Amino acid sequence: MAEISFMIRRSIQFNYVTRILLIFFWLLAAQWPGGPLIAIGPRQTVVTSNPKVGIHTRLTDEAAPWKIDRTLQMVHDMGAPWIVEFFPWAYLEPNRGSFAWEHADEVIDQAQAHGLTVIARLGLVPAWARPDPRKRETTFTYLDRDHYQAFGDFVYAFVQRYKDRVQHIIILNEPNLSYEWGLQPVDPQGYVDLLKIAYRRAKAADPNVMVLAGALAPTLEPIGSPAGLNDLIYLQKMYEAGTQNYFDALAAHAYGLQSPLEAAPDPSQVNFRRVELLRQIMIDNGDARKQVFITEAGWNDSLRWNKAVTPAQRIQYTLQGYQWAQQTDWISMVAMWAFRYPQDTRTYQDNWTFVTDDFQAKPIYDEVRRAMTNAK
Amino acid sequence: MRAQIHPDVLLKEKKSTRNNDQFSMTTPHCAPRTTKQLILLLATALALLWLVPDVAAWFNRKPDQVWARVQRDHVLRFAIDASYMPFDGLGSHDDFYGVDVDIANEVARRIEVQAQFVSVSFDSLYDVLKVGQADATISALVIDPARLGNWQYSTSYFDAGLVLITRSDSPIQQASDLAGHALSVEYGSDSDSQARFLARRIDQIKIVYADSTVNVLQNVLNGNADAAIIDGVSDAQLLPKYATLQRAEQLTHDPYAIAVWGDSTQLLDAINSALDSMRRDGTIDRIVDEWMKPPP
Repeated sequence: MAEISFMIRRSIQFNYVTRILLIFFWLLAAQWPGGPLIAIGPRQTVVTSNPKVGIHTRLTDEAAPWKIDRTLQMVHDMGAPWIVEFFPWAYLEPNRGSFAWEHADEVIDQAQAHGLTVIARLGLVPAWARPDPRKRETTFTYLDRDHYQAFGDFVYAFVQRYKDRVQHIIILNEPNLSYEWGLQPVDPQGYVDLLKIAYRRAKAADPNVMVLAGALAPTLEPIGSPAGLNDLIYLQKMYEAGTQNYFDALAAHAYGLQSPLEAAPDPSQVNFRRVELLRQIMIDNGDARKQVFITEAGWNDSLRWNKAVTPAQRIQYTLQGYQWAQQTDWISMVAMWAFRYPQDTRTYQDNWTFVTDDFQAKPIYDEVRRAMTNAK
Repeated sequence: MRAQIHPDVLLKEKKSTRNNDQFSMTTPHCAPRTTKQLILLLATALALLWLVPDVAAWFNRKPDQVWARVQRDHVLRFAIDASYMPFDGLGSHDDFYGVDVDIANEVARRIEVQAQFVSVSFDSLYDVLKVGQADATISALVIDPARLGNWQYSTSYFDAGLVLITRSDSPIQQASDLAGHALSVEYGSDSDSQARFLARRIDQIKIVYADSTVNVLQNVLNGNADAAIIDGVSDAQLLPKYATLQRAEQLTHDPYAIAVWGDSTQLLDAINSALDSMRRDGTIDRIVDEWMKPPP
């Protein structure tokens, strides 16, 4: 009887020890860093009938590697060899001198593996480079002169890190809009002063990197408007502020709004070919040799936005826009806005995208893919 | 030892009908409590309450400076992207009009202030609240859960989500009844995306394309399709014209609401109170119906 009792006690003890050990190993295994869920495969090549086709992706807030992979695979399959992607300073340098490159590495490495050329848009000011919000609330686009050098340091760090993978950078976005200039009055001289610093720092990191300037919003806002400044006036003022030697190519935005592609450029209208007027200003200022990269473009097919076209028109104009770029020698590429948002906004902004947030291809995606790759 | 039991506790103890074998805060089985213990109990309860985010937020709330300014100046500034009819329009004399403008004016009137409109682009609709260039945003704005915290939303005043339309005598009452039926949508629209979504999940849906919402409804009327998908605004605008068509099911929800900056809690309460009273007395429906009327 005593022996049985001993065996039972021993069995219970054994069970306890076994359980504790199992729990310990299970916890250890749970903590063990696993391998990557998405492995970066061998480099692919984009098959396309138009090597100037591009699209602006929105992977900035896309945390899941499989979604980054899926996005870039769909871009590749659409026959687009170029992407424009935003790399926010605020995310990459959250504390001064302390960088968090993991997400940018993921996007750039994945893009390279899918055979895509990345144009990196840099901007978005970290909290440490903006005023203390207890004294003054500012937006992520607010950058005062005291921190131009800090932005230059970030540009240096970015170009230095990606010099073998990223050959094109854009300095800020649409600085001719108050919203993009920290909700302050726009300042072409201020932008050019920033550009000079960024250009020098970029070239110091990699003399071969192409610095794209401008990325101006097409707008008719007159001088003194609180909302912004006409892009044609702004570009001329950039030249007057001495920008010529501080950019290698112009980034331009070409939104068609309700006009078809064939609508002729007109200073009093915003349409796709307004970019030809920007080009003329470059020629007038002795910059005919520089190329233009259209880093945002497109038509919106919302049912109700008063600057939209029908879905069928959007498809037609988009295909024509890509074709126009292919035939225009001073255009290097055109990126339509936008491939996909991490989360649909359920507003007319969603009518710019090619793919829904759950990767459902819209008809425009299917049509562009068919046109560029002869896919069925 | 019960000598130190508080008289109130004794009173409760006498009133207690519980069996003494049960655990009870008022039975002799419970440890005797002093005032000090009660204070400790109360403090613990408060500390636990503090852990509940909403309670902590209530204690930590900052004074609503936006509301203070609105009350001081008697002006409520609404940011608006006036490019989206019938909700947000801008006339040639900088006069704003549309559903949102009428709702904003009525909300302001019920708060006993004057509405002012600040014209901004879509991209600025939220940031102008952050930097104080406007007090609230009304612009066919769909509640975005990702923005909650930094911004807050009022209750919804309109749902622009997609709806399923059928003939009044149709056996199709919901999307799951669509198997083997023809479904009409505008090519390339959100309704088209929804139809493709359903077609992947329900057998044998035949999608019939049209080039406009009106023609989508015509397809159902003339028998080219058994059902249609249109958005909530088209439903409100067009369906009253078709007596033999009905809204069978609300497929998705796009609730429009007014946004304020996260600290504007008192302003949000005031806006919600105004919207509630407008909802109760039919003002919201009246405003929406007025703007959804088809042009004569």
